[in-house]
Amino acid sequence: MTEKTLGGELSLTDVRRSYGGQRGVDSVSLDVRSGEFLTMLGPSGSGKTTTLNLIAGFLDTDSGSITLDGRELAGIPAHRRELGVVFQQYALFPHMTAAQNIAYPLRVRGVKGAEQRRLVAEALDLVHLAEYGDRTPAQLSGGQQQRVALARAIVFRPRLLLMDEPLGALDKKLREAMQIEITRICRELGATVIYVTHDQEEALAMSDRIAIYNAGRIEQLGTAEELYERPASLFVADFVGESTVLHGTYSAGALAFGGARLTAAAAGTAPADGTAAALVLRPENVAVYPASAEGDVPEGHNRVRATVEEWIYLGVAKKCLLACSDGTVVTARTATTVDEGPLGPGAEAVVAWDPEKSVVVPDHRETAAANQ
Amino acid sequence: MAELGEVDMSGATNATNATATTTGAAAAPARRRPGGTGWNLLVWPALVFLAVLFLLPFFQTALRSVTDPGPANYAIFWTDPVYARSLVTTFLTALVVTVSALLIAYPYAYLMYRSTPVMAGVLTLLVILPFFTSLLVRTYAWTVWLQQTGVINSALLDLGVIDAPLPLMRNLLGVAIGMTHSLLPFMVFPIYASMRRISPALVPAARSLGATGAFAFRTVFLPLTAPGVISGSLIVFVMSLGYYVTPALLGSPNNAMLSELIVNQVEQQVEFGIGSAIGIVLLALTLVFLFLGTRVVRFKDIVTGGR
Repeated sequence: MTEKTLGGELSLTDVRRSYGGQRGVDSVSLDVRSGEFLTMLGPSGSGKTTTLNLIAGFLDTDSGSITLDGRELAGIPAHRRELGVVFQQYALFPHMTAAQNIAYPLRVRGVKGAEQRRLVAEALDLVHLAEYGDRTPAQLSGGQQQRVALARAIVFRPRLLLMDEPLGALDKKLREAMQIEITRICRELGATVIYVTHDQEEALAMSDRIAIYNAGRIEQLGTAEELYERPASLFVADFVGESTVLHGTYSAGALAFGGARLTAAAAGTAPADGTAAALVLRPENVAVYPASAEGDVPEGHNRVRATVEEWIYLGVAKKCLLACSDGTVVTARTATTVDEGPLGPGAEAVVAWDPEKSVVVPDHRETAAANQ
Repeated sequence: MAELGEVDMSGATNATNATATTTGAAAAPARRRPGGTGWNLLVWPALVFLAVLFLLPFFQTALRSVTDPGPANYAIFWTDPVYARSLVTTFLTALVVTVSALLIAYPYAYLMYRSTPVMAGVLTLLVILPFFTSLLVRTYAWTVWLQQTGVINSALLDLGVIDAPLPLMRNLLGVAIGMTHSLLPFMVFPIYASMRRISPALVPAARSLGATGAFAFRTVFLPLTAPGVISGSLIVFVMSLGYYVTPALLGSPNNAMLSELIVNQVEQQVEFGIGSAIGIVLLALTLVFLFLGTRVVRFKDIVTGGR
């Protein structure tokens, strides 16, 4: 089964593609290692699907280079690139059975008879659909169609697997089950995977690394942990996970916010002195104290005064929304056992956090506004 | 009547269910009927209309074909070779028209499918334009082009391409040109509709799996348009069988279609019985082809082009 592996190495260098509208790609560079599961995550129209189409050969690049195992792909038509593609709506051929769908790439390659049947059976087995080969797509559930699409994309041993929002059409429960299934199959095959999604939970759950797309560029590339703990920009902080953002001015290693000076680890490059910056805070790292108990805040932690607005019960946790004097809303996540007593709505409070658990990033939004 | 074709539901007709998550084997759920029984009354004018103006004359004709003077009316197909030959002519003409309409309509529908919405609108308008003019006017317009001293022959003679006028009408060629022209919309629209239902991701998917453009077209696109091709062909074929005006004006009187023989019997010979018998044979012929067609696609799909 492993005569040829799916572990190709893909490299994009300064790839550009303009599209008239906003869906273009502007200078994307990316190296994908053999066997890596790389997700392109971003809002719709940010260029992630365009990048996928450029790799697959459905679109031509304006400039830049895309190589697979060191071989330049420009000029090679889609049908000779040897890439497996799984489409958003599965794109199964409705007039063929599941087995015929899976056999299609083999048929194209002249693989016939017993050899074709063996490979199709193996692929059906891999996706746990051994009994369903004779069904047409219309007779299969969404999840089953998805598996057939996956089997069809890998049966001819492509060097790379491209998936464009493959779970977009499934409901939440099934989606989560399929996430595990797809990761399992890809691991088993040692496949290099480029996965496109706009669902950040899906990206965090499945990927080795994630490329965050914004306006045609990769804003940050890193592991789920890096992106969550050390977002390099306000956009990434906002897009990945829930966060509170405090806007202020950066000088001498601290952010001036209200009357407080807040220190934080800077992600990547620290903002220049005197420029607008933003401090990014994850709700689970924020502690809330009654104003009277400010003495309890550990030494060295950042602290900001705020007024409790509301408590929200989430089941696994409780969420507390607080308003700072300038109106900024801070979100804190606490255990459900926390006593709300002295912290009812309207109560004066202090929010505090470990500077190491927060990040300062340049506030492009404000500088952009200032430059106009 | 809609049940006729459910016997053999080809896989291709399942195309429309591609994205459905439920099992496609189950019959489509009955459409919800609006309102209460009051709405059903609205169907009566149509029923009365059909009964008085269609069913009644039909039974009269059927009756007359065996009573005026007797069933021997049908013997004309054995006794007079003109009628047997006309059966063949009718069938052949319908076949030629269907094939030529298909050959023109498929690329045309594909062009519409690949065009921008505005361009597709213009192309649609061009196909339905014939509907805006009277059939008689259109057919006479063709005689202006096709006759011995017509536009085409004059031009070719003037250019020295030919020495004598080409026989472009008063034969099967003329009939085929005129009928193909006026029946083209019935071929274009079912095919176009079946193309529109194909998910735009299917051909790129085939390409990504290694298929060349031509192979993807042949193995994916073409089979999925089969319901449209079959519907269109059946409609055009069946309509061709009963065409009268165009064959009468552009065809040869020596090689008439059944419809022309009916007119001849009723108007010239005043033999209503024989005319009725030919009419019944023509109807039977039409029903046979409709039935054969429904063995391949569902009757509902022929009428609606597949949805």
